[in-house]
Amino acid sequence: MAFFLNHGIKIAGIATAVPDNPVPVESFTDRFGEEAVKRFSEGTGIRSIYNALPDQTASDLACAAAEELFSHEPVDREQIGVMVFVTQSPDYRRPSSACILQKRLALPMDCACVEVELGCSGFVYGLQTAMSMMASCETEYGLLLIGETASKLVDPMDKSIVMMYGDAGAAILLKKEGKEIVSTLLKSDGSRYKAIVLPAGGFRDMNPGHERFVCSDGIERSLYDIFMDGTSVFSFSISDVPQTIREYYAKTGTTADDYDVIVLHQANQYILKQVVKRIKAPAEKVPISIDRFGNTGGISIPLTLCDRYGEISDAGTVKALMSGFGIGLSWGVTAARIDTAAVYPIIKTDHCYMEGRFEPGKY
Amino acid sequence: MNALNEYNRIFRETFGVSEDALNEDFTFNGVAVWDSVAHMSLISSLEDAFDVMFDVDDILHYGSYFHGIEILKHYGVEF
Repeated sequence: MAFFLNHGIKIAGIATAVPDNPVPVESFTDRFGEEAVKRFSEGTGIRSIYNALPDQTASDLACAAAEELFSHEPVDREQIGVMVFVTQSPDYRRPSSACILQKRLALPMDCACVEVELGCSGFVYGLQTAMSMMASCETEYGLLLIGETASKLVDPMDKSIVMMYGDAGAAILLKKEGKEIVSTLLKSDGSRYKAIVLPAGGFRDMNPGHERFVCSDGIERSLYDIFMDGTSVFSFSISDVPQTIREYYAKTGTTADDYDVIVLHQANQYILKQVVKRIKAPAEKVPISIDRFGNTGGISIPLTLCDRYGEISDAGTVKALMSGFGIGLSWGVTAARIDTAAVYPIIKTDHCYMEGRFEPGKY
Repeated sequence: MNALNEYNRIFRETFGVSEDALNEDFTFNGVAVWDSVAHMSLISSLEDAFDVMFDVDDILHYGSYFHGIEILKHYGVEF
């Protein structure tokens, strides 16, 4: 069992950013019709999303979140020895965007930078990766960055997804301090890799044609568009995920009562409702942000924390249970004490790293 | 509560159809608006209305208006 115990490392700050480009779900009425949009919104709970600007990348959003974090947390960047960037939307095929973020954030050469390619489970996996690296190294600080622009990989006529994916970035500062133990349980099931897939553009099928065809859900796509088998993902989310949370309860000797807040990946409101019911959690402990931000993948957990605590100053320290789940399939559960004074309001950014564009013949 | 009336109401409201449409042809594969979002909405409404919690297999195989009635009977709902 991939059950990890992290001693003496805490979450010391959380900041998140969304693109300065709100997209209300009603704006899709011309494309899909009023009835379809209304049914989608009522079904998923999503009323609005934020889409990245044309030149804006996942690393831009993560970078903006990190700079916001540093504006609040007076950490010496020279002391950050580990940086993990979680994304499935890198700037280039190579090199890793983690290295570019190291340069942009002026992190030292003594900082180990690594990229993790995961989606909705990315916060939990990224947190564990960063904490594991920190535990076996003398650094005092670590930085977990997450960025996603899944909206750029969706067929604009795919009504099952195009109104669902919101773009965002997150930055989480980790610090060696205290004696708290952060326990994390991680799982994967590659046998279900086809449940959410974008077939083209990788090295299995790099340059196939752009012909469109009808998929099993009756929606037309090309091989370059994300496909999601909604019913399979729904059943995974309401069976494997609650079961893993119950396993986590058993491993840690806890129940929902032991947590002040339970932050679940914001997949859609029905999945949230079903998971909450199956883990016997009181609904008031489970914050919701999907209505205003959509499904932001691995950022949805820190984004929901910032949405819940960013604007209030008297919540104190909370014990948060957090579970991310999705593409892979990949999922996990973790829990940590978080000082809500170090959870900052969500910012909007139009920042794009135009220096990162390469011009033919000029490099 | 009349179970059939309630069952029909949920189908009418979830799919935006009249009661006349609820027959043996009303299936997941045969009705265009019965997509994955509508399926989640249907399952959630049925669970709330009949105070049941479906097994995952039943959610996956909840493929038609009539088959759904048989599934609900297994959970003790009397039609």
